[in-house]
Amino acid sequence: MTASSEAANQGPAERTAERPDQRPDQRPDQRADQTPAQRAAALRLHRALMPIWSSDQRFRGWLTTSNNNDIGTLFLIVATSFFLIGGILAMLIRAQLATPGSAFLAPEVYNQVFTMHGTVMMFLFAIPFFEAMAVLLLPGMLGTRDMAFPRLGAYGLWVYMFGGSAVIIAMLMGLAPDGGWFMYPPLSSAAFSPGIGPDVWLLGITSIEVSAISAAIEVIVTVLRYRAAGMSLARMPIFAWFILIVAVMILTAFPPMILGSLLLEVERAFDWPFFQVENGGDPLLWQHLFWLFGHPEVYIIFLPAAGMIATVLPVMAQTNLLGYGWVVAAAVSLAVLSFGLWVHHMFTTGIPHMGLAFFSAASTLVAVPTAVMIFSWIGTLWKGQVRLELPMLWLLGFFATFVIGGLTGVMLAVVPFNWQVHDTHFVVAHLHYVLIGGYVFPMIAAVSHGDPGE
Amino acid sequence: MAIADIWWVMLIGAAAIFLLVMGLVLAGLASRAAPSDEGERGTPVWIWGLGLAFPMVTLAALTGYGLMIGERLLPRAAPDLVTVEAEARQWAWTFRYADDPALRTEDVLHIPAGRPVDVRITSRDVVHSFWVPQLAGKLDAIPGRVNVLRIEAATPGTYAGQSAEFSGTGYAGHVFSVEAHDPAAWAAFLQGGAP
Repeated sequence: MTASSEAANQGPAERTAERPDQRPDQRPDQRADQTPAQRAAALRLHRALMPIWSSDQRFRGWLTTSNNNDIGTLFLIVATSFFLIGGILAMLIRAQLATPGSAFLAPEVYNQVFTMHGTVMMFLFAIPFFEAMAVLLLPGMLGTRDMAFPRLGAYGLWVYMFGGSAVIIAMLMGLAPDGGWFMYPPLSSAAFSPGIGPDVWLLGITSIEVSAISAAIEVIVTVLRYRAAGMSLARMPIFAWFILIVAVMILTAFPPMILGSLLLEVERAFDWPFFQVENGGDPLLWQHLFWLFGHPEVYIIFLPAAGMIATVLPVMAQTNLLGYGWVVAAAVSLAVLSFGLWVHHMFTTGIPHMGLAFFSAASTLVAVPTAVMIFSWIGTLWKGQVRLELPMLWLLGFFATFVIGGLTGVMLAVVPFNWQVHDTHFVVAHLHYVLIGGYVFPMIAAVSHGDPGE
Repeated sequence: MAIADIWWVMLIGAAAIFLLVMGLVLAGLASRAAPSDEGERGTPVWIWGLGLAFPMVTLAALTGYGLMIGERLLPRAAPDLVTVEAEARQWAWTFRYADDPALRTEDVLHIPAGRPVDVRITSRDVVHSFWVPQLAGKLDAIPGRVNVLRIEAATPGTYAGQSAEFSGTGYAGHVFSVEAHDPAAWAAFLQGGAP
């Protein structure tokens, strides 16, 4: 495990060394200010420290490890497994919907399957997968040995495994939640969902959110405090910028969701009134809390992938990124704006039109920083010479699919049109264009860029 | 209908923008600039022009247009207004009529054609949504709240409606219909005669 950890640590560093904007004197093996004796001393020190930093060599090392490469690899494997499970669920949905009124899945089963598909893809795959990439790549990119708070990283991994497998095991036992991945009460309240499914969902998802928050804390401290000497914020690899912004967003967006989950669980378990009208609650409270988390969540998923694009695409174009500062500024403004438009998921709940106007304008406004990023990337293609290798092909898929997702998103931000297509397959299509084009394709590009299989 | 106009405007606009962006991407693949070009000389065009100015102008126009249409569709006072109540439950609709409190229909809403109708929507159990695609956009039926939707059928006839908010196992079959009557049939309906 130690050897592989070392090799993995070399990966990103070597790649950045190939980038044209990297000066050759930054290569670690060519530093002119070191004598051979100093180098030998450094090597001795490195070997003496290795036993302290590396994981247990035996099997139980996989359970006790706190090394970022091991944590990242485990994270990646688990998240990919959940991705496959989510994909199988998607196939079941498509099989059911292939013909009208099909008897392939009974309504009770179908509701579980579609609820679990959304839950698995959003919470068990998308968030942990970029956390895995960050844990795996950040120390190498920033020139540090490990993430900050390695044990917190291990904690996040195991909390995530616990929450994720609890939800999956419940599904295999036929006890999965069936109230939709958005879990609107009162449908998800004790009166209308008496089973254990929603409880499993609430506790499992809360575990995964705790895991995401711990990863976010690690990322923020690592990026702000653990950079190599001389690496100012403005000189960081751009992925570090994106992941830093995302980490701050996680810290802001996840607490409302955790609060909502706790309130709903307390209501279900102890009959406290939060979302039931009979006891003085309001079902809309859940929708506000859920989407106050749920909309930033979309950008929490997109921005790491955008960071990957901004990393991989200049390599493919054999030039540097056009407008590094502009892209960072766009990401920051996207993060800020994303907290001001959750109500566009609630245009049909009877909120006054003046209120809708504000959120409609804010929703269209997010297209501006997105456009800055997209056109910065196209400008990068123009000023370089593009190599049509595998990662670049995936990025072309990103451009086509994500632009359609973005344009349909602008359409949805227009209130009267939203009144018609809200809760229809137009929305389903839009969000899959965005997530497949804006997350899955760039992440596959990043993986194939990091490991070309040669 | 106004919303259909918005759709065609946006579809054509979006298709044009999509073709523009993809054209720029493909042109970028073909370009043969010197690979040593590490400058920022493209910034004015790419960032200021296409990144900032282009979407801001387009989106400001679109948002304004959308809000104008939205204002037109709001329920406003009208002299010949008819008010009905729609109460959703798992998985049926009950409709009541302000013109005759004793009247009640299940899963079929009767309205006069050619007159504005306010539907006061609420729910008895979970969240549902009232949606008659040919008459108006949807509006949610939320327990404890009453949302008012303005609909108007231009011609008499039957219009299909359905609930558009996931509500459990019977959701797929949670449908209803709207019968729009000419003035004579509407009067007959209010008098309890067969519609």
